[in-house]
Amino acid sequence: MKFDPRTKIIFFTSAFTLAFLFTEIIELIILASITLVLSFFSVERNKIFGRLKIMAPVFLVAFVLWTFLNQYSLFHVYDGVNVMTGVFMTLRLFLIVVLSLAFVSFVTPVELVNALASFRLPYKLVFTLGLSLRHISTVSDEYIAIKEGQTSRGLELDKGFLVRRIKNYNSVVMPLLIRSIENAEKLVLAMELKSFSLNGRRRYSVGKLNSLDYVVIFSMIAVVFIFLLRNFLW
Amino acid sequence: MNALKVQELGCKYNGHKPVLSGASFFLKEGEAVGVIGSSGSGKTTLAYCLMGIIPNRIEAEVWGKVYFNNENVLGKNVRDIVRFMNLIMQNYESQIFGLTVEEDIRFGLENLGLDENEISLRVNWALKNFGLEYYRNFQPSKLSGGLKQRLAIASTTVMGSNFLIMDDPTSNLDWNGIICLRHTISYLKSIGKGVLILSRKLKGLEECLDRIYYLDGQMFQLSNNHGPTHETCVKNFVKNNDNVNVKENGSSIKIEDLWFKYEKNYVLKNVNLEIPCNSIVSVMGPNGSGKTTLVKHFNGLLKPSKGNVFVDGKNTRNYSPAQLAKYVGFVFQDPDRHIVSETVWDEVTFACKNLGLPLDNAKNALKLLNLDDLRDRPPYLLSMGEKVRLMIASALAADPKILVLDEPTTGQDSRTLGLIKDAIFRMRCDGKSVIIVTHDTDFALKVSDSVIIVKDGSIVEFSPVKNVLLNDKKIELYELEPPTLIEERVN
Repeated sequence: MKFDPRTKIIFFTSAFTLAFLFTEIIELIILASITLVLSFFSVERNKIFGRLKIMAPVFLVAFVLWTFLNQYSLFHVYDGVNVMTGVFMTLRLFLIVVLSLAFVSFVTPVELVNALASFRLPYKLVFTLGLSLRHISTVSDEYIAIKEGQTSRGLELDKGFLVRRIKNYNSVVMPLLIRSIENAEKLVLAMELKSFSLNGRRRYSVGKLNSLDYVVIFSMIAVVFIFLLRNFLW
Repeated sequence: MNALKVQELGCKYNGHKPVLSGASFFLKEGEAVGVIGSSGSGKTTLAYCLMGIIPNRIEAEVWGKVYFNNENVLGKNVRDIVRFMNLIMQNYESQIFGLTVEEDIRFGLENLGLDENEISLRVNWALKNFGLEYYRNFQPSKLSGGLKQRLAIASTTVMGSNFLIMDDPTSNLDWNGIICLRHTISYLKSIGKGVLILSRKLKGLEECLDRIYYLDGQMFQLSNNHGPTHETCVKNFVKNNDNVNVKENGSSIKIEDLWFKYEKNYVLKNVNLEIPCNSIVSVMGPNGSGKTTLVKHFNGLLKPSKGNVFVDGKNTRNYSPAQLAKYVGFVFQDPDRHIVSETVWDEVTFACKNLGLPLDNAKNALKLLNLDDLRDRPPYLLSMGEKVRLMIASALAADPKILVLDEPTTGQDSRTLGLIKDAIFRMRCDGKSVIIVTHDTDFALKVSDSVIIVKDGSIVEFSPVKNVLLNDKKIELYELEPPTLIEERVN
């Protein structure tokens, strides 16, 4: 079963909103479980779970901070520890990370651009976003090439304390900036060779929504609406 | 029939002597013409003048005439010229805009303001005729270099230009890629397009060319496709290093059961290899076979997924690339992406400063590569040949025991190749090893003692160079570029 890109975007946007609207631990657990089950079916599931593993120390630090330190301020000192707050905030952070990883895994750049265009966002914005997404891989390749070139000639990037490290990375970041400007010039020339002008509108194509898409879209909007009412009116 | 006629075309950048003068040729629809010339001979300048990029986007003085259907179009805007002529740039990847293959082909057509039916017809035609149907929904970044080039050609061709200019289209292609390009050019001719190919090397494309011109600032016709199509024709196959006494003491690089994968699939599979000290080895094989991945293990840029790599007796797992820089010098493909300093001297001393080595190393390296007069010059003003020599010099400045060169011959003229060859032999005279990744069979024959053939991530042969590169069956089996004038070598 393949969902329409618009469905995916609405699902994830709603889920991110809910992560901030939920006030109970059980609510966060349910949504995190659903996202984890979905992630399990992703082709990039190893990457998702691998990255969660890398993030484990961050979750631990978040738990410690919210449990032991969240009630301290410059002016007041409260007694006791609040384990439930620690668990709640750590779960919220976990949910946001899982949702972000799942979003990147499930929504391709093409789908994102097509869906945003179908939401009638400004053409210039959507076109620029599409072009930027297309060139992320180019910038990433440039970064790797410069880094490999520098480290192969004895530059230790991750050596020394913060200031030293920043200086080390300067040898990579500055050339990357210059290279990006040069590439932008080439890009302008290449666009001219393709007769580009902002007047000639590109067409972004999306398919038709099926019944399951409608179910997911309306369910998610309804859930968000209910929680908005609960938090702000009831 | 439409024709493009160029008469006495010349170009001069501000304050410099002319890069191009008196260039004259003609090109009809359904013809392919090759222009051969070394780096810096004015090929890209010629393309930019024809396309109107010079003088409209790049300031320069141009003179002469460029007739399209008896109308002089020299100096017209790019936007006017792309209606009948288009350019596939040397760096064709920058011409790919789409997030998918189909979208990229549509891009130019939508810019032309065609209606949806016409666009769909042309897109389907291009996908079918350029063998891209299967890749319709692929992201261009996931395609191989050869396929990306085909996509760039397809998306430019559908725009309906009568003439196509290809700037150095063979530089990153293996032999199979060149043969595919030849078929593409033949196809373009068959549908009535005129094709102009500007390259250092036209080897493999001769069959589809109607005329060949030689460009070196000035331009003259060689002959009707029977001229020398390889700028550095190998006339003497006696290796210059045959007299060198090779002493092989132990191994400089030892690989044990190496497996490596970037994501899912293994790119290197069970590689076992021992490269002796004091030897010159070429690593060859088709594009995507794992050659660069293999050599990136030699200086620790990549670490084995399984197995071990020992360099000068050190397990690369335990050392960073920076720590291994004292032992292995690495010269990357594409100098434009790797040269980052403000002057030649800064670039060549970069390793010495990082590794605490004497700056005399850098001086000697510059001298060896004949760059000592250029030490204060900004690298971006250097020619491609000088940039490659600079990269080699900056690797040699660290005085490494092993030098790895990744495609050092790409786009180089014969003089630069000679200097690279001298530097390689000098390394061996000093008891060091050199490993060269290359598609250039002639260069490998000239400099190497032995050749490693990599295919589908495995080493299928490691033999003396003559046993492989002078064997027709092996050349065909391993999909390598046939050496030039093979008969002379055999005799």
